[in-house]
Amino acid sequence: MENILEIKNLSKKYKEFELKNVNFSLPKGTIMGFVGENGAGKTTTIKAILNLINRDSGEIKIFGSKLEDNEKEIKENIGILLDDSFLSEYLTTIDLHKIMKNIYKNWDEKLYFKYLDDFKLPKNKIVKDFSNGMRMKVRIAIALSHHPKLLILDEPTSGLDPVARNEILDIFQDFIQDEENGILVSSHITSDLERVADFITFINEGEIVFSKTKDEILDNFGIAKCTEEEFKKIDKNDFVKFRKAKYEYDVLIENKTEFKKKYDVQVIDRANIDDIIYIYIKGEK
Amino acid sequence: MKGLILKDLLQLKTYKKTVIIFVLLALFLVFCENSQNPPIFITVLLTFWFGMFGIIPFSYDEQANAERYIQSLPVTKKEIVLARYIHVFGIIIVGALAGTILSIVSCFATTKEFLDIREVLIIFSTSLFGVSFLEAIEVPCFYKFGMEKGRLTFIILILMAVFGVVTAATAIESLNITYEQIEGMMLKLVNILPIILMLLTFVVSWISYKISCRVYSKKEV
Repeated sequence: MENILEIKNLSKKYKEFELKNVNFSLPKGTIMGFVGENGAGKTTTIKAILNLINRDSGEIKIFGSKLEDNEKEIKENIGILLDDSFLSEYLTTIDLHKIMKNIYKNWDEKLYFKYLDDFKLPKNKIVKDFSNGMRMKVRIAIALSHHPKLLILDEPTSGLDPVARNEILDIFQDFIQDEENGILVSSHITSDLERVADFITFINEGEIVFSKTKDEILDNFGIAKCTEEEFKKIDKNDFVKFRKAKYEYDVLIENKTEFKKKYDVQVIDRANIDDIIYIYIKGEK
Repeated sequence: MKGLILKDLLQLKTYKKTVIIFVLLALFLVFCENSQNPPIFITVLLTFWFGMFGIIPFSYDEQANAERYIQSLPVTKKEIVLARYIHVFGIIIVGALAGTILSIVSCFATTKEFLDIREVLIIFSTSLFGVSFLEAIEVPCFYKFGMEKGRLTFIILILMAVFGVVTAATAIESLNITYEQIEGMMLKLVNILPIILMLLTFVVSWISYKISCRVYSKKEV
């Protein structure tokens, strides 16, 4: 599969934080969920992808080209939604249309107004008077209305009610149907990612922990519920991390089938993305 | 880039009523003034007010934390800075023109005489240069330090400039040059002063733009 986004050995050092050798790629026609706790390096990675920060080393290719070689052209084909950054809220949706029409060559007026109608967004009210969910919908409409090939979304469903979230997730799934587009979506709402993502990339303390297909993760990862005796018998190399609960040990394992063959543990639960992140960050080895 | 200029202008829409009130206030002040004096200050006042309106988008962008989003759009950093300069200095020119037109009209309304064209040009170019000079210092400060610290830096720079002018005036006095001599020199320059001031406005704005581009190119958002 051809990649729409490739990140190789990306590093960036700040005083108190470091992005270490980040590697992952997003194939065409797929959605990648980018997860990790706050301050793990998701936003810094997104900033580096968009060339908003000067990286110390590494290479980023979008649509097969280095961003710095053809930044303007490449950005024409990227739809952006940033969690904490947008234009002034004293603008109306009509104002935003006038602005974007003069920024994106491929701005599709009809599509934008269709999204406004679908999302039931008023046209002559300033965005400041909108609810949080409506504001997010405006950003989504803008991110999609110039026919981008790549969507980079930072927390796109935060502040949305379940109905709106599903509506947006359906739009994202439609977006990748032609097998030419791709979406990198950073989100804390992992249930959304479990619904739509094809890949999950987990970052922790500036390092990529894994970048795998969602099915690989959900099928193979598990949480073995062990007694102290059972836990003591487990080889350290056979689990990722563990958490000591009140009466048992929650052991995060990467391959349920292999683990079952090797150890006689009665309960092995399915691990969802939240469980994996939680035990990985809070657990011990 | 056109989209960014439009963004700055559309953000000022909320100030529509304030601008009208300011213009009416300026007119009111003109008619309260002694009608024998040409209403010079209306040009200075409106240029200054419009100059202040021109920098409002900095506040809006800072409030919305818009820098990151703007830099993610298909525009270069140079275009972002240029768009802001076109907006800021464009608004100053509009203010100076509006002030000049109003001063001509109000002068005619009160004295039934037109202002001397040389006088009009000098008032226009002086107001334009004065406000542009201030903004040319202020805008790079905003890019470097943000609105709050930028304003403080701007005030310090202006105080330093005032100190410089006072020192220069003292130096001139010590050279035994009288104000009559200075006035004489100015009268000789009266025909070319507007051109010199407009050229200076352009040069100062261009230098300021170049400094801002340099500052902004290194800025990480």
